[in-house]
Amino acid sequence: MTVPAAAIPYFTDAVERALAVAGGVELTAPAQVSGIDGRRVGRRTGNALEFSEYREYRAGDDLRRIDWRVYARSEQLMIKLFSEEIDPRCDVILDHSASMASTERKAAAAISLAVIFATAASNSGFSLNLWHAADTFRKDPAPASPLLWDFPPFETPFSPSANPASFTGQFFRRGIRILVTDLMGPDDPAPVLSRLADGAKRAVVVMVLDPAELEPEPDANVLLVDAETGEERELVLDEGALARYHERLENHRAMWATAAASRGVLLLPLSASDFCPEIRPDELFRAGLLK
Amino acid sequence: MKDFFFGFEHSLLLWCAVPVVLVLLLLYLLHRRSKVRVVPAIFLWDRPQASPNSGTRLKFRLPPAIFYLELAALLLLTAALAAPFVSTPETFPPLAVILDDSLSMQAKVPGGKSPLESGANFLKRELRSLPDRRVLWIVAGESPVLASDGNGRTDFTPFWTGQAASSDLAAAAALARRMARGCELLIVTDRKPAFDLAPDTTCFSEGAPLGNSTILNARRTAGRIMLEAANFSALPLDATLILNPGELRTQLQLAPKETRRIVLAVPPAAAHGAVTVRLENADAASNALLCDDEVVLEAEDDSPVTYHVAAGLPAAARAALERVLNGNPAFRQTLTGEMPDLDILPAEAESLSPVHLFWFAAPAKNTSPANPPQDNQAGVAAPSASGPLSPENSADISRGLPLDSIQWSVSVDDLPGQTLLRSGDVPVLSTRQNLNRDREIFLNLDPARSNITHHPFWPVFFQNLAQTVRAERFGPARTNLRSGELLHIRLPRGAQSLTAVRPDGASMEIRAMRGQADFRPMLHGEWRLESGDGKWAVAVMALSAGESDLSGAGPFRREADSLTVMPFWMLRPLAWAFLLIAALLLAAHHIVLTRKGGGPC
Repeated sequence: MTVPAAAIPYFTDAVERALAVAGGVELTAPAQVSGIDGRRVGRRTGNALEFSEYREYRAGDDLRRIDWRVYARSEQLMIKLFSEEIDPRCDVILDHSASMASTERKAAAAISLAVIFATAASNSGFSLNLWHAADTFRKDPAPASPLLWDFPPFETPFSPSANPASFTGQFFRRGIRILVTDLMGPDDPAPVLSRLADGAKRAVVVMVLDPAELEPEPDANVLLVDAETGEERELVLDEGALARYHERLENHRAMWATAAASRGVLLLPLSASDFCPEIRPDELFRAGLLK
Repeated sequence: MKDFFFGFEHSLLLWCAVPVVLVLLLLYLLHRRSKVRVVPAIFLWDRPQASPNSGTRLKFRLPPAIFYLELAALLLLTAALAAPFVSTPETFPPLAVILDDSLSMQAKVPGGKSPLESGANFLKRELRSLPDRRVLWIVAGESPVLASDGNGRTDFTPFWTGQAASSDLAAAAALARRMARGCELLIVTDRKPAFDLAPDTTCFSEGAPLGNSTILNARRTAGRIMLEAANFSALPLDATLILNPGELRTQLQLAPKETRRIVLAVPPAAAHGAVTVRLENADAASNALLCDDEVVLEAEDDSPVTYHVAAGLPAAARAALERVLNGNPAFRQTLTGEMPDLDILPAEAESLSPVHLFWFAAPAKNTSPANPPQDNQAGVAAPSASGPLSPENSADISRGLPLDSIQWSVSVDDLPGQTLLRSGDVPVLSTRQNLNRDREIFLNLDPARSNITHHPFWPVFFQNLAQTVRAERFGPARTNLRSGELLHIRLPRGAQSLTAVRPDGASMEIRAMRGQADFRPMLHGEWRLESGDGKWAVAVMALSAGESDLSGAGPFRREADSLTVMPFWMLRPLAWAFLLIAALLLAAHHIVLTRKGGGPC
């Protein structure tokens, strides 16, 4: 079920704040990617009209690409290379699981990140897809216009990592894929990371956590309710319980970091407080995602 | 059901517990309700079963404040619910115990027990079986006294001494009925009561008709002691009367049941002090009561009345006074600076003496002392008596006055106070007590036109006046009295209290009311009284013919038809069982909560 984005109370504010920041920001393309519609050309040779370079003939090359004029002058078989015509692409996947809205700040930060990435990609001339990872992966019809997003609420009872098979669409091939999520699921990271990295030029997982999740405060009697499963646990949040929580959280993040590294996926942990209410995208620049 | 909630005293606890429980419930719900916190990954948190700090079987966490609230509420509820099973002072009718405090309660043969001792043992046994009963204690002497209203346990032994000259059990029973409506009576005495016992009255008597020798009456007047000795035994009495000081012995033989009067002379050495007379009986078996064998007698105060005649009295009145007072040993004129016992003065004068004789002596020009004349109307005839003299009210001062053939001429038409003597319609002698409790005597007499100063009325009147003045002096009204009789003591001006030292050395403080202290001395012997500058002695005698004659004493038992027993008092341990169960349940509840999820904090 989707609802008008404006119906989500913090959505408009988050989008407007992110748009204000992302106006002059571009998405950094991977080093091997350049050119768009003749403005950027791929490093590989392709079928574009623009000459790229010569190289010696190697067996198997298309004889039609031999520059016979050069052969006439130098008796060397040189292959005329034309630059490959590349259209840079970006898939932004936003996790719509309920855990993303465990706090309003976290939800607003996730929205802001998605807007920043989408706007930056648009600013850079990327072909852009915005995927809402809810019960299924659904492509947004207006990815470059965040205020018009057909935005489902953060109510999905599982995270993308729990059911990567629910994605039946197609990411851009050889594009940049950015998943905005919190990775707060007990699932095996391998399937979703593989799904994200396969065929991508660059895969990034932005892990957004609220400060209340990073540093929960001690409390007396607390009924913890899982945002997605609804499971309840009544605990006293004393120092011992918090220490064990921190230990488990670090192990969880380390597991994802290891799994991401092994698949060439960049895992970028971020705090929601850096994106709500003030947006400070320093980490994104530092990580080379934006420029 | 109504009785369950309202019919017992502790229902108040129940109603106190209800709001406490409501508040507790509210607090409990608010306090015990965990704060809900939504988390994105609950798998990162402890499972309660595995949380080592959430409590184990061996680790009991410090009970929180709410635990004590729960405990208090449970205790209140338990007490309230257990109350119907616990007897309370108000659950059953109060028990009024009437203690016969007469002398005969002390009677006993050597080695035996007196009715008082037997009664005390009986009462202790009885009260042990009525642990929570409200018990009123009424001491039945000459007049009944409520010694304790039963609000709290009382030891009866200090005020039950058996010293009174008589006991009015019927009046004590009436007092008990007035003090506690619906109460049951328990009478402890030494003989069967002389009145019909109500069905709810229990009576215990362990008396016995024992022989006794006694001094029945004693009086001391003008150097003589008049005694009345009696032998209330079945055997002849061979006894000795011993008078002290001086150890003067007088042998006495009395036949069984004989009563004899004896007159003894007071030794000159003891003319102004106390004397003691003891009846010594060698046969202890025929003398069950020892306290009535001895009397102490103080000297009566017969010192002359000091008087002062005011200069304002008419010459005729002064002459009449000189005629009757000069040479009268009962009167003495005051010395300079001495406070007179009697001030004789014209109307409207002021005096500080305890007795004032206001003499309306001059022929009056007004018709009433309340309406003084406006001017000097010389030559106006004075009112005269309009009829024969007649007594109207009885008083010491008017007792025995010869009234025949008196020519009485009055000075005014009316007198203040209570009229004692009237001439026709005109009061001629009246008396009253003023606010200072001074005795005021009003004499309406014109001596110049009366023959009264030559009539026997005149000296007799002043003899009565001397007695009246002596009675009005500061100090005790009487110096010798029977135990239990009411003693009035007129205190010196300004004194607020009286200190009475008993024969056994103990002292008691008695507060004064309007310059007078009243109390009933019980212990026989010589009492010392002090108040301000005044010091006096009074002798209290344990004399009573009715009490000394023990022939009417005897054992008597009567159980009340419907003496309420308290069947539930044995269930009192149930209340403790309730408390124990409540405490165990609470502790178990707390442990379970603690083990479940950290418990209340």
